[in-house]
Amino acid sequence: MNPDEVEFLAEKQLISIIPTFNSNVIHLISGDVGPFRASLPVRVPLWMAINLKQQRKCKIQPPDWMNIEQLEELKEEEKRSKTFVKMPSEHYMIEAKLLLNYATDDISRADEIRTIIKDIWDIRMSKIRSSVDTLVRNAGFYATVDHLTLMEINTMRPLLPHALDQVYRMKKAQSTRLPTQSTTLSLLNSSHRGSSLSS
Amino acid sequence: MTIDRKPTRYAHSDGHTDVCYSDDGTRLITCGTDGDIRIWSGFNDDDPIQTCVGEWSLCVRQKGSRLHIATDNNSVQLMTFPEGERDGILVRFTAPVNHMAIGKNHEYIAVVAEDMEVNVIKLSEPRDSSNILTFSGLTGPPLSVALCPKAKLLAVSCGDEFLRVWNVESTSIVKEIECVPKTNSFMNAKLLCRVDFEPVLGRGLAYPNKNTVIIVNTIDWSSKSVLTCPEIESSFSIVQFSPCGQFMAAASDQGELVVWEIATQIVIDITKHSRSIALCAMMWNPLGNGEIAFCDVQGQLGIALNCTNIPASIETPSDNGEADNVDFSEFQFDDADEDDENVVSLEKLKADIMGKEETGSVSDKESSRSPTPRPRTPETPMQDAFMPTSTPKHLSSRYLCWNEIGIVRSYGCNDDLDDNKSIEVEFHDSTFHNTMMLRNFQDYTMSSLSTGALVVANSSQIKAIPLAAGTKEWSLSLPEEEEIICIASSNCLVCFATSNYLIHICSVFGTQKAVVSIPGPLVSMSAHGYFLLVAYHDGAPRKGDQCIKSMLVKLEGMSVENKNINSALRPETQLQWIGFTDLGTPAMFDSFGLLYLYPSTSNIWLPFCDTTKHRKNPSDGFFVTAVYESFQSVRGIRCKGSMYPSFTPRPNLSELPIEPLFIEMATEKSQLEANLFTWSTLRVENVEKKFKETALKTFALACRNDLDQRALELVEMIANPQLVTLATKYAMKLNRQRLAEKLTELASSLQESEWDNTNTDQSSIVLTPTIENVRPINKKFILNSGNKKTPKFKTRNDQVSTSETKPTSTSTVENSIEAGTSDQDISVNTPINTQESVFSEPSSTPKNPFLKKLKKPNSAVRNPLNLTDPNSGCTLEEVNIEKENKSSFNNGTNLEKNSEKRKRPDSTDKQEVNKQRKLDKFMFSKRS
Repeated sequence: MNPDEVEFLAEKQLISIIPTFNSNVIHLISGDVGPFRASLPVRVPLWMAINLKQQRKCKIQPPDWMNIEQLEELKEEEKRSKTFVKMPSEHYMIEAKLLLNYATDDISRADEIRTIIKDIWDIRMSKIRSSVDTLVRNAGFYATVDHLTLMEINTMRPLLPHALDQVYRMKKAQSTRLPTQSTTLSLLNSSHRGSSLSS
Repeated sequence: MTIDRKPTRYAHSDGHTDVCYSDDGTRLITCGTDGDIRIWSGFNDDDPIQTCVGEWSLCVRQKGSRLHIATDNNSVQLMTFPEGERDGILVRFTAPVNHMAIGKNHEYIAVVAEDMEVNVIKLSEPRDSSNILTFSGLTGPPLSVALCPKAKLLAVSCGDEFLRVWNVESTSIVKEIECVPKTNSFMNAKLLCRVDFEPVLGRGLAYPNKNTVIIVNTIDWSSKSVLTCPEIESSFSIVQFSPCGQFMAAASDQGELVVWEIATQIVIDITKHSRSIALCAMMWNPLGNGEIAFCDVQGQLGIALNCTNIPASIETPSDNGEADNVDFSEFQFDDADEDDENVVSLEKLKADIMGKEETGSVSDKESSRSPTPRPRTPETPMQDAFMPTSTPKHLSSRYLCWNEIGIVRSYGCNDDLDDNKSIEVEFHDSTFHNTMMLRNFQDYTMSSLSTGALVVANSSQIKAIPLAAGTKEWSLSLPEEEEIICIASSNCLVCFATSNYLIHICSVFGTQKAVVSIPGPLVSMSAHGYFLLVAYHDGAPRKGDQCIKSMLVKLEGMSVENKNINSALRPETQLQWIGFTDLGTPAMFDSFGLLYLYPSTSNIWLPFCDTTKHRKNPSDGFFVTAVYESFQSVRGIRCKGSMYPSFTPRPNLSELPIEPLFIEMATEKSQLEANLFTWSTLRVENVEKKFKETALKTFALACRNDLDQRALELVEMIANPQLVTLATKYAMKLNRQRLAEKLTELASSLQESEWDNTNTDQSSIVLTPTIENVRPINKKFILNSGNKKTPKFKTRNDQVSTSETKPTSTSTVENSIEAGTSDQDISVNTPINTQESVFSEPSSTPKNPFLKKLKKPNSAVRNPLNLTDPNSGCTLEEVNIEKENKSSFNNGTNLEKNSEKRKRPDSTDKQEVNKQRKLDKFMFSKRS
C-alpha cells in the first residue's frame, strides 16, 4: 500500500463544513450527503469538503482536536510516554495536511498547528525507529505496538518485514549449519527457495 | 434602648453598594457601582482613601493586610490595606463575582460568582489551584455565601430558590432549604437572601424567610428559633449575627433594620429608612459595640448605633482578637479611634444643621438616575426600541443584522477614528451575492438585509443599496426634529420608523410609497414581501409585563391595509425578536426563549418552540436568526452564558425543531399529538404521508389502551376517508366490533357530506369553497364600515374584472417567495368578519393536508390536457381570483342593496362561475 492509498482511505473521514450554497441531498455510493443549506453546518467526507473549499463553496470547521492547547498537551504526553499515545484521529496527519493546505483561512493559528503536528509526527517516527532498532538488536520475536495510525504503519512497512525476513533467513541458516556441512547446503538452498517463493 | 440611626451619606453612585468593617473595627470599606473602593476612617471621614478598581464592584472584604474586591472583570482583586494599592488577583471566573465571605478565625475565603461557581480558597499558602475547593450543584445565580467560623460548613443561597449547605471537607451537600425567592440573575434579585452562621461556635445558621428570620441548628437542621417582627411586612434581605452571637440584625427590602435578642426572641428595636429604600449591605462592627454599618441601593452609607441592649463592655466575644480594647461603653474609644468620641456629637450637629441640605442633594441624585448594574427600580421600564437580530450598541464590533439572507457586521462602532469604521455584509448563499464591504463614514448603527436590498441607517439618514444588478443606491435624509429608530426591509419594501410614531415606507428602488402612524412607541418591526409587522407599546407595563401589541400592515401596490394581531408574551418577558417565517407567517420570540407563530388561518399566536429545553446551562441564550416553517425548524445561535452571540470566534448556527408546548412531551402520545397539531397548523413541507401515519399511530395507541371513544373522536376530528378505512381495518383486526361499526357509519356520513359538497357546489372548484362564500361578506363588511377605501376598491375591482379575459397576468405576479401571500391576502380581511371566518376557515384551510385529499377526486389533480375536466386549460388560482373578483365586484355594485340577503352573492357567484365554465369550454374546444 502506498501513501496515496492511505490518503484515499483517510478522505472518507467525515468533517463538518458550513456550505455557502443550497442543494438537495447528494446520493453517493457510500451514502447520502446533505442536504446543504447555506450557513447550516453539515457533515461531509473530507474529499468533498476539500473539493467544495477549492470551489469556495464552503467554510470548513476544523475538527475539535485541531487546536493549539489540545495538541500541545498531546505532544507533551507523547514526549513523556514511552509507548505511543492514542491519537485523536486515525488519520490525523492526512487530515491536518489537507486542511492546512487548503483551508488555512478557516483554522486559527494554522502555522503553529502545522508545527505541532509535525513535531508529534517526528516524535512518533523516532519512537518507531528506535523500537524497531531494539526489536532487531535484541532479536525479539514479536513486539506489540498500540495506537499506531495507518500512515505510520505504512512508513515502516516496506522496510521492516523485509529486514526481519532477512534476519530470520540468516538465523535459520546459522542454526542449520551447525549439525552437518552437507545438509546445510541443501537446507540453505531449500530455505532460500522457500523464502523467495514466499516473498 | 433605641437604635440611633444616623442620616445616610453619599458613598457611591446609585446601585448595589457593599460595605465592610476592617478587622479592628475602626475603618469602613465600601465599594459600589462607580468602581471605586473607599476606605473611611470612621463614618464622618470626609476624605476617604479611594482607588478605582474597575467599572463597578459588587463586594469587598478585608482580612489582615489585604482587601478582597469582587470587580467587574470577573475576578477577585487583591489590594493592600490600608494603602489601597493593587496586589494581584486572587481568582478569576467567567462571570462577575456576586458575594464573598471571609472568616475571622480561619484562612479561607468563600467566593460565589454569577456563573454558578462556588469556590473556597485558602489564603495563607502560595496561590495555586490546589488551594481552591470547588462546589457544584447550583442551578441558578448565587446570591450570597457564608462560611461557618470553623470553615467546616459553607452555605450558599441561590436564585433557584434553594439555600444549600455543603460540608467543606467532603464537598458534599448536607442540607437544602427552600427559602430564596426565585430570580434569574443577581442583578435582578430583589432580595439578596444573605445568610449567616452563628459566629462563636457555628451552631446556628440564620436565613431570612419573607418577613421572618429563621435560625436552624447546623447539627440536626432543626429549627432553633423563628424571629418575627409584627410591625414589618416587607421581606428581609440580609441577616447577620452580632459578633457575640447574642443578637440578630436583619435588613429588609424597604430599608428597615430590626435587631433581636436571640435567646428571648424579643425585638430590641426597629429603625426605618427615611425613604424606604432597600438595603443591600449590612455589617456589625466586629468590636461588638452595637454598631451596624449599612448601605442602600442608592449608594448611600449609613450607620446605626446602640443596636444592643446591653453595654458592650459586659460581654465581649473572645474570638475578636481585639479583646484588650473592648472594655468600654458604646461610644468611647480611646486608643483605636481617637476622635470617635466626638463623632457622635458632630453627627448630631450635622444632622441638626445640615439635614435639609442633605435631603436636597439626595433628591437631586434621584432625579438623575443612571443605568446601573443593579436596577432595583420597583416598576419595570418600557422596553426600548430595538432592531431584530442586532447585538447591543455599546459593543465595538457588533452584528447589525443576522437573518436568513446573511450577516451584517459593523466594526469599530465606538472608535473615534473614522478610518476604522466599516460594515461588512456576508451572504449565506454566496451564489446569491458576493460579500460587500462598506466604509462607515456616516456612523450607521442600524441595518436590515433582505433579498431586495441592504439598508443601513443612522438616526438621521437612511441609505438603501438594492441588490439587483445594475441598480443605484439611494438615500433619504430626515428633517432635524425626526429621528430614525428602527428600519426594516424586504424584497419589495424599505421601511423606517421615526421617533414621532411614524413609519415611512418606500419601495426597494427608492419610491416613497406611504407613511403610516403607529398607535404607540415602537418596539421593533420586520418586513416580508408586501407585509410589515410592527410591534409597539400599547401602554405602560403592568406588573412587570410589557404591554406590547403588534400589527400587520399590507402594502401591496398603492393600497394600505392593516390588521391588528396583538401579541403573545409570557409574564415579565420582553420581546427579543420579531420577524417572519420563510412562508411569511409572523413570528416573535420572547426573552425567556419561547417562539410564537401566527398562522394566518388560526388568527391567534401559537407558542411553538421552547428553546430553553434545548440549552445546557440556565444562563445560556438562544439568538434567533430565522424561522423556517417549511422545514419545521428555528435557526439561531446558542450563546453560552449570554443572550448575544460572540463576535470572534465566529459562532455556528444551529437548528432547533419547532414543536408545540404539549404537556408530557416525553410520552409517545404527546409526541404524536404535538406532530398532528404542528402539521395541521403550519405549512410544513411534504408531511401528508407522515401526517397520515402519525394519525393512524395515534389511533392505534388509543385502541391498544382500550380507549375506543378517544380513537373514534380522533378519526372524527381528522375526517379523512382514507384514514377512516384504514382505522376500520385496524379495529376489525383487533376485534373491536363496536368501534368498527361506528367507523363505518362515520365513513358513510363522510361520503355523504362529500356528496353534498359536490352537489351544492356544482363547479368542481371546492378547494376553498367556504372562503369563496365568506369573501363577499367580508368585502361588504369592509365597504359598509364606510372607510375611505371604498372608491379604491371599486376602481381596482373594475380594473381586474375588465382584465379577466387574461387572468394569467394576475397570477404570475405571485412569485415563489410570496407563495404565502395569496393566503394572507384573504386572511388580512377575514378576521374583521367574526363568525363566518372562525367557523369556515378551519374547514377550508389548505394547510390541512387531508382536506386536499378529501377533494382530490374533484379538484386536486388538474391536467390541463384532460378532456373530461371541464376546468382544464386554466389553473385553479385563476378561477379563484376571477371568481373572487367577480363576486366582490358584484358586491361593489350591489352595495346599496342591503347585506341581509347573504345568499344573493352566492347565487350570482354560481351563475358567473357557470358562465366562466362555458367560456372555458368554449375556449378549450376552440383550441383543441
